[in-house]
Amino acid sequence: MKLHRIKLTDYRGVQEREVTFTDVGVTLVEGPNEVGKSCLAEAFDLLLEELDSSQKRRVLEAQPVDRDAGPDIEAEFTTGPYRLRYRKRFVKRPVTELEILAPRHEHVNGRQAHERVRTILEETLDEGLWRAVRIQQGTDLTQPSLAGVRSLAAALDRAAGTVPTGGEDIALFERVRLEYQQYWTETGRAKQDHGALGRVLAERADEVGTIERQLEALERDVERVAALEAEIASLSAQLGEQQQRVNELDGQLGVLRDLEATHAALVTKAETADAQLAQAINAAADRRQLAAEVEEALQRVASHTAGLAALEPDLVDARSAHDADVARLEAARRDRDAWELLATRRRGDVGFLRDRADLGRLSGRLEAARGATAKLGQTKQLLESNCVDEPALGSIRTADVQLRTVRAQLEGARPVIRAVVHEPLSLEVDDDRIDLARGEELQRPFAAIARVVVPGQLELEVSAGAADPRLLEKVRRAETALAEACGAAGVPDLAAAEHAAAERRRLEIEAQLAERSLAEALGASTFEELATTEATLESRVTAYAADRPPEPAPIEDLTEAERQATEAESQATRQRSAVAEAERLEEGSRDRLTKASDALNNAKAVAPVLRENLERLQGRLTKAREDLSDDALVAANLASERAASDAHEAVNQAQARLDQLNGAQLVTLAANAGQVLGQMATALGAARDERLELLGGLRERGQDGLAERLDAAIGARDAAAATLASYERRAAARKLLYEALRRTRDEARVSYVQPLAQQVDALGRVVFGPTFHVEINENLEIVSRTLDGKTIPIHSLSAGAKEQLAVIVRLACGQIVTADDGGVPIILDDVLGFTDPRRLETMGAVLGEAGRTAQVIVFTCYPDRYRQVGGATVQKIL
Amino acid sequence: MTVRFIHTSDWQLGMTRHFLSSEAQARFTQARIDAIRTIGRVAREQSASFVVVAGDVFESNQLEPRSVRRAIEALRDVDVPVYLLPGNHDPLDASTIYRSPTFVEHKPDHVIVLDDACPRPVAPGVEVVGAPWLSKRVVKDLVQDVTAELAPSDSTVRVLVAHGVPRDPLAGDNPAAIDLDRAEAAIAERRIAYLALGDRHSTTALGSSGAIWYSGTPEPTAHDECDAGNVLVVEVDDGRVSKVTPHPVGTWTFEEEAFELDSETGVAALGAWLDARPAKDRCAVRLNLYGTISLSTDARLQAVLDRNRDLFGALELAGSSASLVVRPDDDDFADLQLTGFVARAVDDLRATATQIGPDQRQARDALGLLIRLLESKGGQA
Repeated sequence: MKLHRIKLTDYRGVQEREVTFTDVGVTLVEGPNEVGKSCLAEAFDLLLEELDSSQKRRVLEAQPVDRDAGPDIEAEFTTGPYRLRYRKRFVKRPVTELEILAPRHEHVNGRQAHERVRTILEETLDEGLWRAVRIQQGTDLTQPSLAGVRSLAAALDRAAGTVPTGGEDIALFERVRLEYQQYWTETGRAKQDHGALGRVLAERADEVGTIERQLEALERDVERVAALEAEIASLSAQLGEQQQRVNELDGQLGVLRDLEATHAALVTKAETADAQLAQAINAAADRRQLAAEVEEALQRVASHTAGLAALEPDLVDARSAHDADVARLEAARRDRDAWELLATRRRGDVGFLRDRADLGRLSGRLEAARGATAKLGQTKQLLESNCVDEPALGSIRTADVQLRTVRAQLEGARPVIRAVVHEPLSLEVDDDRIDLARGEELQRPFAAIARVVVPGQLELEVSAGAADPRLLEKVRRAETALAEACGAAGVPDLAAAEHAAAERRRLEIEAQLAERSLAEALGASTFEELATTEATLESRVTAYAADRPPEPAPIEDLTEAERQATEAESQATRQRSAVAEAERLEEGSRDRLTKASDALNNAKAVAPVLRENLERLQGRLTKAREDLSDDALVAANLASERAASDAHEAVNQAQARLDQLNGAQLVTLAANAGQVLGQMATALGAARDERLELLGGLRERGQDGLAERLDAAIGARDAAAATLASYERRAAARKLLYEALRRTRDEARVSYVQPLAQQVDALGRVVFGPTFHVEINENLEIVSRTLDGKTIPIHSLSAGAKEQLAVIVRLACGQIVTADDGGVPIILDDVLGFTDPRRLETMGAVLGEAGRTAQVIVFTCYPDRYRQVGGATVQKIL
Repeated sequence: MTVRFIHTSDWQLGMTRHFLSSEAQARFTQARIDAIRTIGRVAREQSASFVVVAGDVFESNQLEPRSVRRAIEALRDVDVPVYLLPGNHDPLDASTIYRSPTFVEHKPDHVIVLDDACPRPVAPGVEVVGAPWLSKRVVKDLVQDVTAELAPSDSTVRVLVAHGVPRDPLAGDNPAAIDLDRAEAAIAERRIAYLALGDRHSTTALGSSGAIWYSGTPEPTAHDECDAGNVLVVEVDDGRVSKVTPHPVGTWTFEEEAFELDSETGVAALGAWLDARPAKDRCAVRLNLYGTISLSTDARLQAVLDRNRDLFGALELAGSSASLVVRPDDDDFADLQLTGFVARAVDDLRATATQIGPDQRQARDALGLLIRLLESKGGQA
């Protein structure tokens, strides 16, 4: 569609105004606000949409307030192949005029004209696009809703090389979606109906299962009853047979019991006979026993009387033997006492003699000790006055040697005359005459002047000069040392010292000898001990001598005394043994005496008892024989034996008959048969009870009509299953169809989104620069904008940017959908209020660019905003 | 002397057919009750002196008391004695329906249960002998057992009423199977005059003497029955069977038909055939449909079936619909002039619909739905 011209008369504040638009390019309609520029767009809508007779508010509001006239709108526009001049006057004297200028000239008026225009528009104008791309003042500047815009879609399809998508397709898709939503939720899950149908089916199936189980239980009971009836018949037959068998065995048992009773009576009888026989045998044995006892008692009395007679002489013998033993014992004791006394005396004598000898020896030792002690005292006194001991002597000797040595040195230092004579010669040296043999050498030192004279021949004086003073000092010191050593020892010189030292050594030896003598005299004891011992011995010897009785005579010789003491001792020992022997013999004979006496007394006491016993037994035997004679006793015995034998024979016969019957087996068989009978009866009773019980239950359940109910339940279940299957089939078909359509629709959208995005990008780069890019989804909405590599969601953009994008998208649509394809003018009502001046320049360029291919109409009361639109035609209102 | 009686069997009272809707099931059930009265009418018309029912009088021992009472109520309308034999469906076991309180309480005197093998005199010189099933599992030839106990007689006409399958040497050894040779021998020896059998639902004469028959069920119950819906009127002259006449009493029909549906004409033929069925409400139809049809043809087919489904007693498709292939073809979509993404989605679905796969059927359904939605939209426009 292209808008060529609009003329308003008596429309709101506008008295008359005509605006023409360039077919291609931008038309700017300028004018102050509320003056009519916005009326143009509104008026065009009224013209197209409302009947001239309309009394709608929007129509009435278009009436001028100051004039009594109907608003009159006339527009000339091209849509599809049609070019129309279309006029309406509303409210007052309504008019509708249509002049079709092309393709075929035609006039239509009134309602018919209105309808005709509607038809033409429907045919040629995409109202969706018309609505989408218009921006009216006072409405939010948002993205156009392009999804479902037929002409745009068709254009995009063409651009993308696909088959056009018609509005019918979208409508169909919506219908399919409604169908789909009857079965599936938004998220693709089955709706509750499906679950409910499934539950119904499950309930029905459960019902079938329940009845089937009841029927199975019933069938089992039926079979059980049949089995029980067979069992009852079989058990009844068996029970009869068993009863017969029990009766038969009971008869045999009766016979057995009779026989057993007979046998028991016979056994009792035999036992009685046995007892009587035993009694008879016992009576005979008692009689024999009594007779034997009488005999034995007689013998005992006789032998006792004889024994008593023999006991009297025994007693006499024992008494005399005892008396003799007593006499011997007393004699032995006297001898022993005499020897013991003698031995005591002799031992005393020996002690005395020994003490006396010891006393003598001890006195001698004490004497020697006293002598040695005196000698030792003298010697020690001498030793104390002689102090030239070995060290003192050594010191003197050393000093002497020292003196002589230094003197020799002094001597050596003097000149020496040496002469060897070849012929014997006598000479005088310093007045000493010296004879020398041939070859003898004279050597003679001298002090100061030596004078050698060979008498007669020679006088020679030799002068030596002065001696060495140091040597002289040494000599002097040695002389002093010797004098001091001698002084310390108390001797004048060495010779005296030698002598005194010898004397001292002799004294020391004497002292040693005296000490040795003292030690020998004392032994291990001290002098005092020896003295004490001597005193003790002296008092003992004196006392013994005084106390000793005169008899026997003392013996002076120790050896003899010792011999006699030993002999007396051995005699005493021998006598003590004799006394012990005599005591033993006396004890033995005393014992025999006592026994002989006791035996006689006992024998005398027993005799009357024995006699009494004899008389008692004799009495009993006599009495028994009077009661039953011995012969009668034997006869009774024989009779009892015969009776017992007969009874036992009878028992044996009865036992043999019992053995023949095999009673134990019979009893076991009978008991078992009875038990089996009981078991059979119990089993039969149980089977009958169970059968009756089952029959009762079956009768009750038979009224339930289970088979028919099962059929009904199966029918209901199958119906539920069929309903569910049918539902699922429908649901599956809808799902498949919906998903297939959605898939292809989305694919188609993706492919035709591309041309729109490209167009938006191309326009947008004019405003935002070369890095501008938009992301557009299948609903043809801008999702995000990318600038300099940064992507920002559309809702996060500034109001200005959003506004600019909203305009750009519309312009892009206007470019894509040309007028021939149902394109519409892009009508912008005072947009870009949020846009800064720099952007206004670029947006102006964009509008200019879009105007090259599309009809763009801008209404504004701010003409400055659009100064930058190149190639714009300006129409001023007022 | 002529004896005339009615031989019937397999009433199967209380039977449920799951292919019937509940409403049709009610008609079916009622038809089986009505058959009892019809038999009473035939007995009157044919001057039959009694009726023997050779087993499976009831579908089960476990029926609702009201079903039993309805059956008994119908039996009251029969004028002559009716002898009921327990068969394999209603054996005389511990749960037998014949001793249920409802049955015992309501049973009229002229209804006699053959609950043992004792001969029962029904008229001078005429006896009915039963070979009842005492449990569901019979392990012997009951006919042989019963005939062995019967003495040959020239003066007494004996009708032996039994239930079961004939012995078939080829079909393995069923211990309960009836030895027909021995049965014929029993007839020849004049132990019995006629063997009235039940179990087979189709009317069938067996043996060589013409005295052994399956009466078949008086009301058909299944498609595989070839001659059901009859009762037999049996005439015995001088101790021998002289005539056996089937009388049709059934009101239901079971029909099975095959149709090739490669074209619209096939569907039209099917529609015409269905229209031509008489007494549709007592007719159970089983269709064998085969061929390959387009979605639009299928839609027409479904319309035909839907229209008839409520008219017929039952309208079922045999087996799976595997032999009938619905293939979306170009004609289905040519008129719709689909474009854009819808056209592509249709292409995808058609590809799925023509390939063997798990989604094949769903894809056909989806396409069918799409066509329906498009057509309904067109209808609105």
